[in-house]
Amino acid sequence: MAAELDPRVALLLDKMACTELVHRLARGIDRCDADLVSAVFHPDATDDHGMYKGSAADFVPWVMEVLAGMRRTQHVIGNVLIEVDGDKAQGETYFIAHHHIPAENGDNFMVAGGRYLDRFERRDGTWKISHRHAVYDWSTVAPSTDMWDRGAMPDYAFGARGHADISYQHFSGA
Amino acid sequence: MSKVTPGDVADRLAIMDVLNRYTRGIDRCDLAVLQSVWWDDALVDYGTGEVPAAAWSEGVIPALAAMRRTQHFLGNMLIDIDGSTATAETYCRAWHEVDSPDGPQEMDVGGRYLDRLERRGDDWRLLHRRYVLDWSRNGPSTAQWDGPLYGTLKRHGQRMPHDPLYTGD
Repeated sequence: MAAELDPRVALLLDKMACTELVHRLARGIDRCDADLVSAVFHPDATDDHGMYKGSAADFVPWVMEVLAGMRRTQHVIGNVLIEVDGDKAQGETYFIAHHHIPAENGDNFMVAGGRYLDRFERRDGTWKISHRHAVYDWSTVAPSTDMWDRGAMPDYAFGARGHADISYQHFSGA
Repeated sequence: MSKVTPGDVADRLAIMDVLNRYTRGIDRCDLAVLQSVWWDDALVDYGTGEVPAAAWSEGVIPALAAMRRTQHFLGNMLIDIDGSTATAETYCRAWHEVDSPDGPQEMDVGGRYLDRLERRGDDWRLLHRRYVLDWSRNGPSTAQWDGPLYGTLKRHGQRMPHDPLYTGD
């Protein structure tokens, strides 16, 4: 099928597939969903987060433990630049990552700006990430000013970790 | 992902335009633009119950206009397309500056839109929207418009019809 496509359309499809991997990885992290995170990496993929360097397979339990020490996160993805070269691609993705973190004297809210330098590979027709390198550009941290009393606002949908988040029933068509 | 077809590219770009047009309607307080993103029978639930999107839109514009300014920054868009229907999750970081007795306050809200969209004819629009709250930051505004740097930058965002988007200035 790929051979019949206009090369410009094929390039769009490849870039779209790589961009979707970046978005799926952010979703997996924010929902603390190890299966979602694992699914975007090739089996032999590697990851470099500075404080973690190693296989993507070992990155998953490592990052889940880090996330367990936080109340909630949101990794907002901005600029995504993808350069495709056959069955390989390189990406540079801007992120702003928001972290609500318990601390001894009240919670902190830490915001970090940076970029993911990703390498993508297409194997058997499927694009996945073969290497991710997180680059850190800036950060701010301050006491949390979150003022929502979540338990007292039952009509509102609040973000949750795992399948408790309503996005799971949303994507399942419920 | 390998099953994505060229038609999906056009559908996805059209859906992204709808999602982005919503934020233009909201941030510019432009009711006509905001109404253009919904089908007539669209419903929305922002956490206060499910209501018709058209009526909600008429109510939200004056509420937004009462704020000093807003910016709804869309990020990650995960879009599953199935024929003429689509299911999407879109990250949004919504920044608001509002007046208060203690001076201007900033509310920075992280959340997600959980949407169902439908294609009718050639047109994609929203049929259902739920909003999920993830985090917020709240405090006195630190916005600056004067001084050696900011004071030289004279073109400021406004609401319709005064924004440079409409005036061409």
